[in-house]
Amino acid sequence: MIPIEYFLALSGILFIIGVLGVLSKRNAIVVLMSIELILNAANINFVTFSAYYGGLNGVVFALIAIAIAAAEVAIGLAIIMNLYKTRDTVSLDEVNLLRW
Amino acid sequence: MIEYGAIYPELILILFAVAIPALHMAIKSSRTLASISLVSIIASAGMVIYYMLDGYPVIIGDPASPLIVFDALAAVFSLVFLGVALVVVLASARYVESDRHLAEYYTLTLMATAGMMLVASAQDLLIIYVGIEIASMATYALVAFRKKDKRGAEAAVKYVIIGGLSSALALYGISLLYGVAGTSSLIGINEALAAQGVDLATLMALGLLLAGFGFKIAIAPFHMWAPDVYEGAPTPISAFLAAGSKKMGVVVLFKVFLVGLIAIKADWDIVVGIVAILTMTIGNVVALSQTNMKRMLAYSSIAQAGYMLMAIPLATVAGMGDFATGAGIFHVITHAFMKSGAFIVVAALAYVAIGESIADYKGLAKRAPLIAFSMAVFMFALAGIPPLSGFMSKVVLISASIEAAEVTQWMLWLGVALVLNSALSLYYYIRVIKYMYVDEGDSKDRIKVPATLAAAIVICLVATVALGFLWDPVLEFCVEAAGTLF
Amino acid sequence: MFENIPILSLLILFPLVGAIAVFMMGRSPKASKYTALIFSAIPLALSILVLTQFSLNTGAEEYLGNFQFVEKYQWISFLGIDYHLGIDGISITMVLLSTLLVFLAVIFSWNVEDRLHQYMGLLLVLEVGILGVFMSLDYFVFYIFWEVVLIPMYFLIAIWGGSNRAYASIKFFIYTHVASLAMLLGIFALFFTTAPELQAQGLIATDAIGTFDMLLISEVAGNLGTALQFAIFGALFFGFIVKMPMVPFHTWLPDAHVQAPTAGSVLLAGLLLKMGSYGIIRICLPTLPDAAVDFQIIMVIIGVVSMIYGALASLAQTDLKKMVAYSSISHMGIVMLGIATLTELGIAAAVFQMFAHGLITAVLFMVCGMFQYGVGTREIPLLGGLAPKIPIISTVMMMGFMASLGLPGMVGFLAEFMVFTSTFDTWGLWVFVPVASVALTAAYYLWAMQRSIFGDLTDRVNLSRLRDAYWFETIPLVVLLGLIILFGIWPAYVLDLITPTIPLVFSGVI
Repeated sequence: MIPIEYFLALSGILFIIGVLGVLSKRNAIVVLMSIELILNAANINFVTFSAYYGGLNGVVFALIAIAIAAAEVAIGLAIIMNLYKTRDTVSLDEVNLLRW
Repeated sequence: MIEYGAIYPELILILFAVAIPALHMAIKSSRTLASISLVSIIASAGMVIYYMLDGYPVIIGDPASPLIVFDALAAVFSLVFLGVALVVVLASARYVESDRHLAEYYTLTLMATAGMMLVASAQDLLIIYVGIEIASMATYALVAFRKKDKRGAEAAVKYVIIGGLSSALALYGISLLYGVAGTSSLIGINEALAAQGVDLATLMALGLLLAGFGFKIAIAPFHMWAPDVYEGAPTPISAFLAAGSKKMGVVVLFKVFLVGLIAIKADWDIVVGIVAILTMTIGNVVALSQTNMKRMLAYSSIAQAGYMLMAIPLATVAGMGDFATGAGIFHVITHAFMKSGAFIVVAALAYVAIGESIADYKGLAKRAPLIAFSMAVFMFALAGIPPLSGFMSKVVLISASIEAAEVTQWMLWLGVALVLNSALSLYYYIRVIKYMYVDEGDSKDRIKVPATLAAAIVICLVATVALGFLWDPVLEFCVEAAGTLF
Repeated sequence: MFENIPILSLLILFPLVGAIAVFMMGRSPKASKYTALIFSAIPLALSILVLTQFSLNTGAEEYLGNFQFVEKYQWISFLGIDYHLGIDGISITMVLLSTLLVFLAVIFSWNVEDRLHQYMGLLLVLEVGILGVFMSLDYFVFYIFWEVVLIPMYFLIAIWGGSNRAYASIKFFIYTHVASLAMLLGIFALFFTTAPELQAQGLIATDAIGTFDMLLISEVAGNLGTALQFAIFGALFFGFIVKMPMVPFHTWLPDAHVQAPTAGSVLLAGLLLKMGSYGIIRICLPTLPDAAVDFQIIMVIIGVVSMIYGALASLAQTDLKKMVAYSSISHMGIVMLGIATLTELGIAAAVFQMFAHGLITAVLFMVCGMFQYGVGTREIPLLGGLAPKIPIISTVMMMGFMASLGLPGMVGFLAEFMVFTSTFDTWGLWVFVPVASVALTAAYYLWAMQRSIFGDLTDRVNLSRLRDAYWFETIPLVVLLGLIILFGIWPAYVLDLITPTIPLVFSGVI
């Protein structure tokens, strides 16, 4: 059996990649994808701990989180597309009518 | 057979939210749809009040680690959210009447309210997460509602990215807590932490939760997005975010810190205290230099969130829990009305083509005496001038801080910071009054504001004044509600 | 006779009702004028009624029992806040002064043109706050009324003020609001630190968090630790001296006065400043007597410095109104000095000086207002030889100045004399330091008078537009000057109200 640390390390790496992506990328879609990485890192944690403790709580949590993440991406992409329609760009550096 | 009484108030809203787009096929009038939404809000509030008078419904889930408990705390926050939703729907009826998608507007508002109410009654991190996401996704769409508006589109992108990031961080924190405690129930987490103490994973989870939920409430240093989003969003939605969505974040922090993490309070009380002081100070200092009304109100909301946050460290002092949290909840209530009132005044004036810059309010007292008077009352209340409600809730917070300081000395600084910040904030609030009453405007024409907007303003005005005098029962109820946490 | 009528509440209620009524009469200036007149006359009549029913000697042996017409209703049980009103010999003089000055200010403002109904309404709201401050016996209610005063005064300056009104009004608001917040912290400190002792003595329920009752707190506050008493006294004292105002926190006052409309100035100097000294007399001294003794030297220094600084600054002014504003600082310094002696005579003199200064300063600011509208300027260098042209204004100005510089036979003389006597009793010949300021006072008043109404007729003002006082300006001035002379000759009318109260209230300090 694979030790729990391996899964946690995987999720930790995914989390760090996700956070770095949010911080460094300026393309809104890439930032959205990085956020998805963080969400998936959390899901891996849930499933891992669920297996570790026994029971299905964590798995249920992960399933719900996946469903919510899907909805979130749908709304996020729609809003980013709307930005593209009005401003012809999806770069966060170029959307500066409002001061960050 | 599971008893679902605890979520009936939310179910009423969701039922109507689903029905309204269907009704829109037949009913084109914005006013009628708004009335239907109001009916659902009032029905839901009636349900909440029925529970308050007649006893609370059975909990959902295992009593040892419940999922949803509709108790006094849930009731008081539900009423705040419903009150804000009521005012926002009233204010929006004219705002969206020419929009093709006006049915969705009401649907989303009701959905968001239901999500917030779900959070208020949740006892499990899973339900909290689901509730936050329901509310957030609805508000993302609401912020983006004016699709053709460039600033609206930009605000929505910022909001969706920050919101997504914040819930991702919070979810990762939740997963770590789940790993540490083996459960996602707040009570269960607390028991586990009390038994096994603090380790690195718990501290990481603590930081991630504070950051994740901190983004939602816009506490410093996670506040940068809020002014942009409030400025770009349709103004009634700005009111909804400042007075509703933000309070949802506050109740989450109350629950997570005071129920789930109270066992390890020594590790976070001073951090939250510092964050509270930072938040109020940064909010007020930056608000001083704002020229756009909505941005100024946004920074003022940040500062006010700092005041509410103050209640969390105060509540960790032995014996102070009920009173300090009650004080925080009381400020949540008063702030909900003052701030939504102020935003709706901005919305009403925008409707009659007065700009959002503070300088556009010159000479308003002569053009719209009642609107100017209401705005002056909201400004004075936000600044904390007696005998208005904002003063009373600040006083209760100060008194909680001085009482807590008898046990834990540094907590006096929270009260001192609140006092100093009140003095500081006076300057930018009174500047609005100065523009309205002292300066002469370019135009002297009388302004006629639509009746629905006026009604929304009057509701907020009455609440702001009345809570200044009749706060004894309200505060007592807040303290009772806070008692359910401990 | 009036046991069952809440007469003090009515005193507050009538101006409030009047204010609401007047605010709603936007269409008709005439109706709002007369309504305001009636609703300011009723409190005056009521306060005189209270005076006739007021017993000079209640037979009470201590502070607690000395209040009359007491009303007490529970408001916020949770925090021990009561709606608690009552008056004693000190407050009744202030209440009479307030109702009188507001009534006269309403008459004096008869021809305000811009938004008259709001102007009158704000004067009445101001009266509500001021009367509340002078009558409340609960810290919380006191604080609320204290802050309520700020709002109408802010608007009076901000809307009807001079050219620099925005700056002056915001400065006024922020200075006094910051000071009140310090006071609020002091009040809360009293609230929490006295609670255990009050519970131990059975004065409040054992499960109560505390009480805001001034009288109960004064019973036990003397038992607190010295350092704590000192700190609380400091916080409260700071709140009060900014309002008075004392050097070095006085800078808001000249700005506010110069910009304020006449009635605003009259009430600001006549009543708002008195709230500060009243607070020290009503709250600081009886509640924290030991700290008062520690603070004595600070009070003396602040008082004397204010007297001399105010007088010197007055000498340097060319604007008549600014000169009178600085003279207010100087005269409030006399009040502070009287309090600081911590003797029976000194404190009685301080209260009497508050009353006297209220009457005199009202005359002076009304004179400034008449110069502004009758002559067109208040700049002393532009004036000269106007006495034959505007006899009423000149006569009134002369009498007002004489009263203010302490001419015997007028009310100011006796008050100052009593303060200096008690100063001499306490500190001996040091009294010549504050007395020097009286010489300065005489200098600036005589100089100003000579330059403005005597000497050669000026050619620097538009003489064709000169006008003398209107009837509505003359009446208040005649009333005030009559009272100034009346109480100057028979000061016992006022002193008999004040002196029996003093030993009871200040048993801890004198």
